Amino acid sequence: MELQSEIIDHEKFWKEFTEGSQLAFTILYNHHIDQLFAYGIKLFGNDELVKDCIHEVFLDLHLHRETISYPRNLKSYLFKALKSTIFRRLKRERKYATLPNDDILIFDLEYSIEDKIIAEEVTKEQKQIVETILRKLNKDQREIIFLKFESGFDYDEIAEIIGINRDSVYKQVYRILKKLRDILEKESMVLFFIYSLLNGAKKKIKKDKKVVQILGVEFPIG
Amino acid sequence: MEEYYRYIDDTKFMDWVFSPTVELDQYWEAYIKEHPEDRATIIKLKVALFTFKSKQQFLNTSQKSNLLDNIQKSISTNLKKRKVRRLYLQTFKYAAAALLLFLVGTLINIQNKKVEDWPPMDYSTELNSSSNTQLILPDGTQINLEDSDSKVRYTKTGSIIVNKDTINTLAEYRQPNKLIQLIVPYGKKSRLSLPDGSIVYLNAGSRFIYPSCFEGGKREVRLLGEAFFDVAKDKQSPFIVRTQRLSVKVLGTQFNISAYPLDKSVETVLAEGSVKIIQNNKKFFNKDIFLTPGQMASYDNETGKFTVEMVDIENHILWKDGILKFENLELNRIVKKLERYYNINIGFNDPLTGMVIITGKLDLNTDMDSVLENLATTMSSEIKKLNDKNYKIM
Repeated sequence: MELQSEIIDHEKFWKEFTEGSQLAFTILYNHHIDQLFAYGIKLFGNDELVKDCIHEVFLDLHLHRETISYPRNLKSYLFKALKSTIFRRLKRERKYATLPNDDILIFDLEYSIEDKIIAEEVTKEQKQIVETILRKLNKDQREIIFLKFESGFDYDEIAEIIGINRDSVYKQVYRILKKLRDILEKESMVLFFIYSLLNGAKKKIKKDKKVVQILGVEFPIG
Repeated sequence: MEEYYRYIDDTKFMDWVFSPTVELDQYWEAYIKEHPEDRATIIKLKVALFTFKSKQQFLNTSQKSNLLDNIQKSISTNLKKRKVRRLYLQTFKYAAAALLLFLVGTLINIQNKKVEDWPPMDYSTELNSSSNTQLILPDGTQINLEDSDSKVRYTKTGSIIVNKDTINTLAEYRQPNKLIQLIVPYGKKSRLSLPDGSIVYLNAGSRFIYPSCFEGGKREVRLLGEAFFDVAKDKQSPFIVRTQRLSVKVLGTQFNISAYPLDKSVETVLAEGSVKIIQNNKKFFNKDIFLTPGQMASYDNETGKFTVEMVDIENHILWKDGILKFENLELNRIVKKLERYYNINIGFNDPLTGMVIITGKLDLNTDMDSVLENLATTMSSEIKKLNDKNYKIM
């Protein structure tokens, strides 16, 4: 009885949008608003400011709709536009208040791993790992993690949004991976334990033997 | 390092890490079986990446539509929005402190005890078959209720009256641990009076499980689908409705719950009295929700978040009288309700039509074809009958 999910014809849709269809505008807005807002909040954690800037971005999108190509670049266009709008706004407001001079945009990633490890008490080691990883990343790396891993952008798009070249993005991803690997090598057993908690149902702990079984492989713990 | 890249640049892998589905789980489990040499790499990478899944913040539905309204208003006046200078910067310096507090707070997050389990629901009976409403007794007897709007009630002696026929049940089945199931398929609805005098109206496509009698200071029932409850007052024994994800606890009141498994959210609307809504897998920081009359709590099944807002109660409870009233509702949602109510399929010629927002009232007591025609007229479009079960909005 579920409505079949219908595939919308992208070209037809974009044509309707550029011709000024209010319906197409609404659909486009609904499609992007969650990710845009989540990204904006990470750039600068103030609801009202982010909402205002999103307002400006969509208004601009409407005004300049004829010069934007669809669909390949639209999402990264919106992300980039939101970032520069927030940046502009903050720069202007800085005149009226004291702000740290560099790094206006902090890119906060609030990690939800703590929420995930609710099944058991969080151990000291797990807490340490999360903190270690957090400490080792800079602002750009945090943003790249969000864009590459969570928002599904490719290297070119990330380069455009952050304003560095493609090779730098690639190198940064390499560095992040390297840090991850270092942590993984050292702490893999504890991480496996976290993994088993994240996967809840798959976890089987045999009390006498103290092992965690993941995908059929047993790992000793403790 | 190369081995990590292969997966990091694979969207199917990233989707699995950040928005897993059953299909992706199956795909990757099969993949690991085929490539056992990559098992360690895959698991390590998944764990590490998952660590970086960040907390995402979203606007709620009404904030989103307000923002959209504002944008469209400024588009129509074609003026850049007046820029209001706000005191963002005041809040900036507190943001870091708040983040710290948040991290500390969630680290000590512990889980409360889970609600005790009920026997699993029996899904063996198809809801969309053209069968009748069914009452399944503790001994397994199935009773067919032929009317499309059936009535079930209890006598003081404990016999069940179905429509007009009396069914005498054995005393040994009148125990709190003997469960009765009422299955209302699509296209039907039912009115049930429980042994305690509470009345339950069940909407199309619903399952309802209740004990043969209430005892022990507790009245617990289980619902999958939509129902309106008029609960008899008994301060000594709370009335608890369990759904898949939420439980609603009341003492004596009127409220509506819509908890269809395929819907995006569970909606509880309170008409009278007060209710308490509890998440079944409650975490330490999850607060219970209390509603006052006229409020609706929507629980988003995906994000696990509640939104509470004032609503027009009639929009949510008139279905029990065969009237569908809606206000600023997407056509998609209305169509889904009609599909359940009549047990039919309604498609769209242009999927964009489904996103049109409409307001109005449909009297479902008249015949189906004229109801559908009324709807189409409101939309200034046509509805085409493809066959008995399938319709299409042109």
